[in-house]
Amino acid sequence: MRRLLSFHALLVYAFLYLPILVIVALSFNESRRGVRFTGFTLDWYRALFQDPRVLEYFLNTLTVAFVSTLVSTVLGTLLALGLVRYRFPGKGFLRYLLYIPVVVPDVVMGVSLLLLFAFAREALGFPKLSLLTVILGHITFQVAFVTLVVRSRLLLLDPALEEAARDLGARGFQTFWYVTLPLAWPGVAAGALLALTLSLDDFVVTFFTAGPGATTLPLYIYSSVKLGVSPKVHALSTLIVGLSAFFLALGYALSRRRI
Amino acid sequence: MNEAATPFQRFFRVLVTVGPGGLWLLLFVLLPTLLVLAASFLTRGPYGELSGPWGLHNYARVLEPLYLEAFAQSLLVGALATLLSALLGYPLAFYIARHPKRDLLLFLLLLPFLTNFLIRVYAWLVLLQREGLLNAFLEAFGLGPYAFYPSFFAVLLTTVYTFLPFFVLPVYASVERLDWQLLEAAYDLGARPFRAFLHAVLPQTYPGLFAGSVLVFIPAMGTFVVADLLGAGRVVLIGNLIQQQFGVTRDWAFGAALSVFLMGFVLLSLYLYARIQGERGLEELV
Amino acid sequence: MAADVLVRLSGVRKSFGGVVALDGVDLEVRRGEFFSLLGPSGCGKTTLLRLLAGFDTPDAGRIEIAGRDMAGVPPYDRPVNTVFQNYALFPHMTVEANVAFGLRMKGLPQAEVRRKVAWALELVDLLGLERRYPRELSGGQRQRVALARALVLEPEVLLLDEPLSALDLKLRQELRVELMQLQRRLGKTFIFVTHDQEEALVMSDRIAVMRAGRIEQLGLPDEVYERPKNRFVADFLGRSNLLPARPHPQGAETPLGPLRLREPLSREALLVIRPEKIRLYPLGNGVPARENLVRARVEEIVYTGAENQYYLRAGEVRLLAYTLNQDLQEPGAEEFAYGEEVLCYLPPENLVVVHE
Repeated sequence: MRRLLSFHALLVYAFLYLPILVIVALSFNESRRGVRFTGFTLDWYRALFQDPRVLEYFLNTLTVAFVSTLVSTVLGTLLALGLVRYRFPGKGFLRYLLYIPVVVPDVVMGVSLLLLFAFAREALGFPKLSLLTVILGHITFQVAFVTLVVRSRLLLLDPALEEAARDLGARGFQTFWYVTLPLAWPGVAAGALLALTLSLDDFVVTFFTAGPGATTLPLYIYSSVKLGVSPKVHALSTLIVGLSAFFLALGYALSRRRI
Repeated sequence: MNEAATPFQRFFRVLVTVGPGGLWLLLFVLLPTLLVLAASFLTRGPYGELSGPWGLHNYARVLEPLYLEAFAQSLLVGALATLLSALLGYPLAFYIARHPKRDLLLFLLLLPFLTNFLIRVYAWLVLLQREGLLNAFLEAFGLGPYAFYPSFFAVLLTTVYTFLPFFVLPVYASVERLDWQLLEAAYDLGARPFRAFLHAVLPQTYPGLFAGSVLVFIPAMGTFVVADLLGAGRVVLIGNLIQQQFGVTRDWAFGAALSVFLMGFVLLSLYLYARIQGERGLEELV
Repeated sequence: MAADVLVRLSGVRKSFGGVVALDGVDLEVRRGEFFSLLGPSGCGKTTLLRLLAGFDTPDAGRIEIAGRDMAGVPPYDRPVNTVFQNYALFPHMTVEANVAFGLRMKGLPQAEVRRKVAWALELVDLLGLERRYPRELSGGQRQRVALARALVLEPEVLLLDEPLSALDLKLRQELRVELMQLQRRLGKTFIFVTHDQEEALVMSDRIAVMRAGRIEQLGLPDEVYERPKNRFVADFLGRSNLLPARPHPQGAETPLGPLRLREPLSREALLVIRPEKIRLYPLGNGVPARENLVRARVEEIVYTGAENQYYLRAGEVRLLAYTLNQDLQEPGAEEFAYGEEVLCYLPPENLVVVHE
C-alpha cells in the first residue's frame, strides 16, 4: 500500500513539475518551434534582454506590486486591528464585505472594477485606465487577504498585554507601536508577503484594469502566447520561475531556521 | 474596547483603524458590486456601453440555451476538475501527511504553484500542441499525432493542474488531525482494511474533502484564462463569455448580468457549504 | 474622624450581556490599607478590579479615586497600576524594558529611568536579571517583575488580580509574606483579589467577601472569620458546623438538643461553630458537668500534620472538630480512636448566630 502511495505521489509530483521543466529546457533550444532539441543557445535570452519593452513591463510589474503591497498592508493591518478590538455599527456587514474579494471569481472582480472606473470617468472625469487603476485594483483584493491574515494573528494575542500597556501609561498610538505591532509583526509580514505574491502573479484583474502603457509581465506573456508561442517567452518564463523559486526557497530555509 | 474613554476618543479610535480600510472596501468592493448589479438591468448602448432602458431582458438572455450551455460546460469543467483533483490529490495528501519530511514535500508541492499562474497554463499549451511533447512522445511509439490542443480535454487537464494544490491543502490539514486510533478500533472489531478505511478514516476527512472541493470547484467554474488559452474558442465557459462582453462583443449590460449570475451561483455554493460545515467552517475556508 | 478614604465606589453596577456581574456595590478603601476582595469565581471581584483600573466602564454608579471621579478617565490617566493574574509581561522585551515601560511612556530621562528601575528590582529582589526575557524566568520571578513594573510608577493604589494563584504552594506562602512586608514598607494601598480565603485572612487589613456581584460582609479578618454575617460567609471562610436553631428559653433548640447561647434566640436562625472551637473529652469520669455537652461517635479521622480532624456523628447531626497535635504527655491533650464515643463541648461564646 505504501509503495503504491509513493508511486502515485511520484507521478503527481512529476506531473506538477513537467510543464515547467519543459519550458526551461525549451528556452535553451535553438529551434523556434517544436520540441526536438536541436541545439543549445542563449539567443533567446539575448533577445529578451535587448527588448526594451520587457524591461518596461518588468518595472511596471514591480512598481504595481510594491506600491499596492505597501498600501494594502497598512490599510489591512489597521482594519484588522479595528475589527478585533472595537465594536461599532456595521461591523458584521464589513466582515462580509471583506470576504467578497477573496471568494469572488477573478473575472467578476475585474469586471466590477472596470465598471467602477467607467462610472467614475462619467461622473468625475477620471481616472483613465492606466497603471494607477491597476494598482487600485490590486490593493482591493490585497486588503482583504492582509486583513484576514493579520486578524487571525491578532486574535492569538493576549489582550492582557495591551491592557497592561495602557495601565502603565501608554496612550493609543504608543500601545500600538510598542506592544501590539511588535507582537503582531509575524502576521503583518505574512500578510504583506501574501499580498506581494498575489500582485506579482495577478492576471485577470490586471487584464481588466490596465490601460495602454500599463502592461505587466503576466499581461505580456498572455498576449505573446496568443500570437504564438515564442522561445523568448520561454526565456522570460524561465527567469521568472527561477527567481520565484530562489526567493521561495530562501523564505523556506529562513522559516525553518527560526524554529 | 470597553475601556474607560470619552466618546470622542472611542469614535476617533474606530475611525483611525477601521476608517481607511473600511472606506476602501466600500468604494472598491461595495460600490462596484452595486454597479454591476445595476448594469445588469440596463441595455447595450451604441458603443456597447450602458444606456437605458431598464429591464430584465439580460437575464432572459442568460437563460437562453446558448448561454445555458456555456454555463453547463462551466459546471462540467468544475465538477470534473474537482473529481480529478480528488483522485490525484487525496492519496497525495495522505502520502505527505505520513512522511517524515512533510514540510519539504509541502514546499515542493506549492513551489510550482507559487510561480506565475500564466506560465504554468501556457506551458501545457506547449506540451499539448501538435508539435508538443506529448505528441512527440506518442510518435516515438508510432501513435498520433493527436489534436490535444485546443480541446475540452486540454482545458480540463490544465484546470486540474492549476488548482490541484487548492485541493490537497485542506485535505492534508484534515489528515494531519486524523485520529488513527479509530482505524485500530475498526481492525480490532474485525473490519478488513478497505472497509476499515471507509468507515474509520474517510469520514474524518470529510471536512477537508468538502473544503478542497469547494476551493477547486468555484475557481474552476469561473476561470477564463485556461479556457481562453487552451480552448482557443472551441471551449467557451461562462468566464469567457463575460470577458467577451467586455472585450470583443461589447455588451456590458449583458456581461454584467452574466457576472451576477455567476456570482449568485458562487454565493449559493458558499451558503450551502456554510450550512453543512457551519459558520466556523466558512471562516476556516477563507 | 474618618480615615483617609482613597477609593470610593457608590452603587456600582455592571452586566455583561444578560449576566449581572456587579449588583450595586458600595465600597470604601482607606489609604495605606491592604484590602482584599474575596469570593468564589464569578462573584464579580475581578470585574470590580477592572472597573477600578479602567479596563471596563460601569453601567451605573460612581468610582472615585483620590477624590477624583473616574468616569471617562482612561487607564493611562489613572493613579492606579495593576498586577495581572498571568503577569502580562511583554514577551518581546527584557525584564529591564518591561519594568521601565511606564517610565518611558511618561518620557522620563534615561538616567532617572535607570535609577528607578534599579530601585524597583531591588525591592522585589531581582537585581541582576535585567537582561533576561520573560520566557527565561520562573513563575515566581515573573510575578516579581510584574510587581516591580507596577510599583516603579509609585501609584496611589496597586491592584493585584490573584497574583499568587498560578504559583505552587510553597512559593505562594513565601510570596504572601513578602507582599505583606512590601506593602507595609511602602505604605501603599493594595487592593488584592483572591479566591483563597487563607490568603485573604493572612494578608489583609480588611476583607470584603463577595458573592454574585454583591458584598456579603466587609470587615477585619477576625470579624469576618469569628462573626460571619450569614451562612455563605461562614462556609466560605474556613470550615464550619451549621446547626439550624429555634428559640428556646435557655438559648436555642437544635437537633443536638437545647444549647445555651450568649443571648437567647429571638427567631429562627443558624448557629455556626468553628471546628477548632469544639472541645473533645473522653467519656467517663473527670468531666465537669456543664451545659452544651453533646455525645458523639468518631466516624473518621484525618491527620493533617499540625492537627487532627475528627468527623463526628451525634444522631442525625454530623460535626467536625479539630484538635491540635500536641504531645500526649501534656494535660488535656487527647487522642481518640475510630468508633470511640466522645463528649463535645460547644462553648456558648463560640456559637455564632447567623441568618441566611
